[in-house]
Amino acid sequence: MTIVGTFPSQLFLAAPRRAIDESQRQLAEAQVEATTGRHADMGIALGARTGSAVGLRLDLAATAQAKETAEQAGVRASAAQAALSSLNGLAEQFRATLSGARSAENGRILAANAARSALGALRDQLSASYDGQYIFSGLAGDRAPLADYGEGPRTAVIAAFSARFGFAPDDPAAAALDAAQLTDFAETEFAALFEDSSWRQTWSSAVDTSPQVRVGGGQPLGLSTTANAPFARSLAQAFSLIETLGSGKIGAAAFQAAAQTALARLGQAQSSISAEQARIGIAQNSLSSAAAALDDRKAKLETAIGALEGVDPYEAATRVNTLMAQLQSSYALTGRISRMSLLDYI
Amino acid sequence: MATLSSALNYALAGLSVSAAQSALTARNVSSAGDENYTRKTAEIRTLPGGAPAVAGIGRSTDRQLLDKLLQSTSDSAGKEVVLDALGRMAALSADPADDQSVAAAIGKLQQALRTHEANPANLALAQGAVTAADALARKLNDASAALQALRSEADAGLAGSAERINTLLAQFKVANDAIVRGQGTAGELAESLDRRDAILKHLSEEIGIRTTVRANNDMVIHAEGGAVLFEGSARSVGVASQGTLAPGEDGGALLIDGVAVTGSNAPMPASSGRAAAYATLRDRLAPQMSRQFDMIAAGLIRAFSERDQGAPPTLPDAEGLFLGTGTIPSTTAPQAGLAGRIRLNPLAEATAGGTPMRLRDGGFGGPSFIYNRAGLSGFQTRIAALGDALDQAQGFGEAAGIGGTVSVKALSTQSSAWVEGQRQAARSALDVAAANQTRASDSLLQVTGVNIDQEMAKLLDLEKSYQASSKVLAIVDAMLSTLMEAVRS
Repeated sequence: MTIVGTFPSQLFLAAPRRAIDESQRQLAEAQVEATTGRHADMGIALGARTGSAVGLRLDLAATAQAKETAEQAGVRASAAQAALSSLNGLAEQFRATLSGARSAENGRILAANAARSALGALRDQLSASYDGQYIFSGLAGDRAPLADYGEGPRTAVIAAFSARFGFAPDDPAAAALDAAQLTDFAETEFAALFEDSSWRQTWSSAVDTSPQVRVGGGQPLGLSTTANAPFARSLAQAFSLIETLGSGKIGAAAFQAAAQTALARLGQAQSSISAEQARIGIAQNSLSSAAAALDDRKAKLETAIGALEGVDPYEAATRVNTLMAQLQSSYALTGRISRMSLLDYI
Repeated sequence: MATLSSALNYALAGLSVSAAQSALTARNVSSAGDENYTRKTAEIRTLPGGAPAVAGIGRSTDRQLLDKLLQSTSDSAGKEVVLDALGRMAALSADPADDQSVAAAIGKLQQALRTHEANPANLALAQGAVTAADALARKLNDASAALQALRSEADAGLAGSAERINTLLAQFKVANDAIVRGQGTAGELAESLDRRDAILKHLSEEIGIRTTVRANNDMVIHAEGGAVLFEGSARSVGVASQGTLAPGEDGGALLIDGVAVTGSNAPMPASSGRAAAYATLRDRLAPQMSRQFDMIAAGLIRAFSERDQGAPPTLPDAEGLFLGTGTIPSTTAPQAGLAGRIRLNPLAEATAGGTPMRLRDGGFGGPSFIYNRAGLSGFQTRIAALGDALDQAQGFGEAAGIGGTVSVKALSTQSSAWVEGQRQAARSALDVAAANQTRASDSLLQVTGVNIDQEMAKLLDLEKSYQASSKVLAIVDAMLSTLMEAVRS
């Protein structure tokens, strides 16, 4: 800096004036930083790293959304599990009723009534819904999975019986049928009603694929099953066999044979239910570990955002104090210099 | 031979010199606060015969320091304009925490799609995703419009700058002519020189200038890059008329005497000062960010476009949730202004006769584009694919400073990074330029400025010599009286 001859009066106060200007600007920033714990001007502080901050915040928001999805999927899976447990109970109960009733007097009527209400319960349980969608309908969640037994399936069963024997179950001629004939019917024509194509035609409106959950766009998890799964068919088979034949006119021995078949189907249904429950349970397990991973990820993202955007509030508070002291000395200096003049002495 | 009368003459000359110097000191003190005023000193010469007289008026100044100040003024004035504009551009992407950026809008759309994916039959969730898409399209429209407005303002700024340059050059001619012709007294000449320098300082705010001084103190002004602004007479400065300022097209260049000094093809480019900054802003920075938004818009339209679902597919891909120009845009060189035209497909809006469920089912492009052929209410595939598409890499051009093979979401964060990076750089450049300007201004002021104390001290001096000269007069008068007494008696 060249100092030539004079020092202009204009510059006397320039230094403290600029210092005040700068200190006040910094003080405003430091105050914001001390109170918010973030940079006062994020863009200037981060520059090109702003992109990372924006990206991290997007990830953070996505994590919150994924957590929500995971929670809702969990509720849905629990609803499916609860329905399956009820169905298992239903099978258990019907097995007890049937075992007691098959040898008792009037047992057939009792069993047939129990089967009728079990068919209703089966339909009710499979109609469990979540958020307006039938859980067991697969992707076709807007349709009830199982038809009302009285409206089609029963007619189909009776038609199959008539086709085999030439008369309906409630025809007196039915009393003449023996156990072997009935067992054969139950395992061929009757069983065929529950094969894929007729099952879909008469009983079920569900589709095989069930909705999947991707937590945060990750690996898809199947958290439910459909009314087309073996357990539903086996239960329907057991219940409808007893309902149709029990209310008919077949002989005691033949009914025993039918009950035998029904009991076997109940066993199959129960093991299918536990298989499904186990499968859903595994998926639920994956879901909760995914949710835990999300919590972990959220914490890490928050740390990363804090590291990028944050300032140490204590440091900022200290800065506020320093700046205030600086400002005060600038004010004092300005006051003193402005009072200093040769004019006071001449 | 020295006589009493010559003593009287010396004393009178001393009085007049003291008076002239006092007048200058008073002038100095009165202008002590004017930064364009240069301290004046009387040049005292001894006349033949020995009496002192004021021969001229000296101006203390320094050409080099002034040049330095002019340069740093242009530099910092231009950078100030750029930083201010970048601040407004950065506001379009905002603080990461504010959720107001285009990137945040894309993030919200993706989350809405993921939520919808978990329950595809839910109309409210579909509506939520469509609303998020609408908000995103509008955000891009607003950003595009804001940048276009910024360009128009810069265009107006450039025109204003040209006008100001013309006005200043006209004023300059008056001052320069007075100097060259040597009109008026020495005092008036010095004032003209001050005024001429002051005009240069104002001029340098608008455009970078270089000055040379020729015979008779005649000054020639060149703009940075070499175009002559003033040589004997002012050259006219203007902006080439361009009609409307269309997106993607450069505005009219700044012309000096008909020669372009801004724009990529300028033979004599000017790079500092407000005029150059406005041109940079209008033709480079704002369009660059516009292009970035156009790329994001193109990426979105492409990510949401639909494929013919027939087997084998026969139709070309069609626009889906987002509409642009009717065709699937190129992501490497999107049409300029696409971000201003992107809009939500009305087929997704219930109020416009469409349905948000098209997000799940597809079919924006017609029946051939229906993805949910079986009409399943829980059809997830399409929604999942749309959510994923925002994360899928596309090939973007790199001309706009961002791009490469990245996802639309990543591209939008790159845009935030770009503008804040530019702003950070502009801020530190301005800090440096402003510090340089302050230093140059202080240095010059130390040469030209007035110290009131010093002037007062000088005044005390002058008072003394005035008193002494007066005393001499009185004494000579007394001596002459004594002589007259002696002669009379």
